[in-house]
Amino acid sequence: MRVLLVEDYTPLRKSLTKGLRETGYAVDPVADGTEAIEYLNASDYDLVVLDLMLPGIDGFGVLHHLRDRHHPARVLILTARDHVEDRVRGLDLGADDYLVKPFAFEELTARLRALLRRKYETEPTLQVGDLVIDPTARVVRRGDRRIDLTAREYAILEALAMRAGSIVTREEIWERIYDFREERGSNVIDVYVGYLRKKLEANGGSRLLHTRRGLGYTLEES
Amino acid sequence: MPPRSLRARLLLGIAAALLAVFSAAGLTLDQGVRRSVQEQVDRELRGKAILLASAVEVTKTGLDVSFADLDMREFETDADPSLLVITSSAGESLYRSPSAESLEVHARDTQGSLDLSSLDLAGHRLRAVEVSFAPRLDLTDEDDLPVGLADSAAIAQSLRIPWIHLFLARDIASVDHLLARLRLALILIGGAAALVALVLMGTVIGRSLQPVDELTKQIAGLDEAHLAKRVEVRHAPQEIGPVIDQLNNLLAQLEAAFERERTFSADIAHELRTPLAGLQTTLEVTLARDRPPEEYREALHDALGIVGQLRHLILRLLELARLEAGLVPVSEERIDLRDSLTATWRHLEKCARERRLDVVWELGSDTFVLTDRALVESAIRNILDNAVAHVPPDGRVEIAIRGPDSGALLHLRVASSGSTVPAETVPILLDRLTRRDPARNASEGHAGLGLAIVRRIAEAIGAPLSVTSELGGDFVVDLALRTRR
Repeated sequence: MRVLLVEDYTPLRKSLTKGLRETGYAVDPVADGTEAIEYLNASDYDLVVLDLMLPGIDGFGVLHHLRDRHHPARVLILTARDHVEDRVRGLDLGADDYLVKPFAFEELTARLRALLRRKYETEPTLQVGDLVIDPTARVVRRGDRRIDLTAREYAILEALAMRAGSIVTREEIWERIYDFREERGSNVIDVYVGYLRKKLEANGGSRLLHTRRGLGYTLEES
Repeated sequence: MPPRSLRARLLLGIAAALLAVFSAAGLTLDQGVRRSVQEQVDRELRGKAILLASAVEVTKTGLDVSFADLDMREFETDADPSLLVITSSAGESLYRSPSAESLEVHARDTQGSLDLSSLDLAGHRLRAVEVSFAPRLDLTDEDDLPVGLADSAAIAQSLRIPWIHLFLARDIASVDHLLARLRLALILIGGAAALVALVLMGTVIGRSLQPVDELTKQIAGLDEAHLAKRVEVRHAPQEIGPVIDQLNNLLAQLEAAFERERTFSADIAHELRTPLAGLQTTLEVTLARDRPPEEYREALHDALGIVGQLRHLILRLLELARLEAGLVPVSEERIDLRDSLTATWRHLEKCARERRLDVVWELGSDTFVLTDRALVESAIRNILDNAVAHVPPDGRVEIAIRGPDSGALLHLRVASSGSTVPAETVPILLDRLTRRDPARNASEGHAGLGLAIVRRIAEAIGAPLSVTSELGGDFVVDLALRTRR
């Protein structure tokens, strides 16, 4: 899932980026509101983690921008301001959640998962046929068998499972799982999908991950 | 003794005044009436005595008393009769009313006298008049009179007529009774009037003191949680108007002070929250999985950097708190500003180089000032820190010592280019935790404490401080230090 991280305090931005990437998110870190708006205009984000006090355009300004553009991203405000007025203002401007610094990293990731569930209207565990994905523990099972996936493979599977039954284009997968710092190889997605399919179908499992030629991929029970 | 209420005091005072006024008036009225009634009684008594005296005649046959034309009923009644005794100087009793049978009356020596007296007789209060007079001559034939005896006294003497002594007394119980009733009436009316007056005054006082009660009630409702409230008393009298105004002024000041404190605490919390969040996330993310040693090393290095910022922030907060509390001793010595400036600059040189700042020095020949070394060096550190931290990269910082001016003040002037502070926000900047920008200068974690500290130091050492700013232009701090006592 693609996250835009807007935080002007460098050490926090750095560690959050690292932590979220290791959790499986594609993270674009930016340090001010102006940059945040440029990124939002250029790309589709699932989530925005937004500090309120920013140089240039502040967090409220970014919220205004998101609302005016009807941007589909879910917004979590991450700020040191704990006044009720600030929370109310933030939520009224269209933010979906509010977390006050300092915070436990686990709580942040739990809240981000909750926001994703709301965005894709899914249950806490994703299920396609006998495939069960638990995004909290990042555990994937097929029947009784546990499937070990790399972070990339998991990210692709989650992106497909979130929209199970629909065709997800390669471009969309890119958007979900890669941030701007990474080079886009021509067939990297195909390679990862190949690995993923092999792991899913090991021990004679039926096909779940279908290639829609010229369009993209679908995760569904055939 | 518990303190008496204003209401009770006023009522007591008024009651005392009413009592005094009504008593004096009642007493005067009572005495006046008593005296005039007494006079009336006496006048009647005297008139009666004279009338009775005229009934005593000297005829050819001797002394004769004839009451034929007079109303004598008062001497004959059983209840409280008047007493009448007429005797001659010879001791002969001429008349004695039935009521005066046992009364002994001594004739007076003096003739032609009329005396009034009060006396008690067998339980009766009597008013008596005694008259000694020569009786009237009733000689039908004037020719019988000796020649030359024209007036009756002379005639009486020549005829050896005795002096007549008349004693007349009347019971004044009814008068006393009347006076007693009058006194009672006076007391009752006076008392009632006083009571009515008191009740009226009580109501008036109650009404007048209502604003005071209202004020008390409102003041009782005040506490630090409701400082936005103002005291408002409708129809407040002139006397408590200034009290209310002063109270509201005080409340406004308190509210502002509390608000400043609240903002300050909130700002401190805010300033501490962000680095703390950075520290916590860095540690949590690092511990989330096994990592190669260099990743741990990097994380620890990052954590240490954040701790350094926190330490810097907390020390500055402490310094500010100590300055505000007046806990910093101020001494005075001769110091070379040039040395302090260059020593402090050494710590900032690296940062200035990294940011490619153009640093311009302008130090005059006269650089000695008379002040507190530790405080002025802290001020210099904060002023220079502030300049270097907020000037944009490739900006210009001018550090100058100018003067002394006509007031023997040496000016330490630090100007930095590219100010982000509009002129009107400068006062806010000097008031503790504020920032130039709505947000801190990216990555520095700088709380706007520096200038607030400089301001407190300037106040403590008595050095005039001027801070000016022009948006996009120069941000100038000018600290004027004394060169002599």
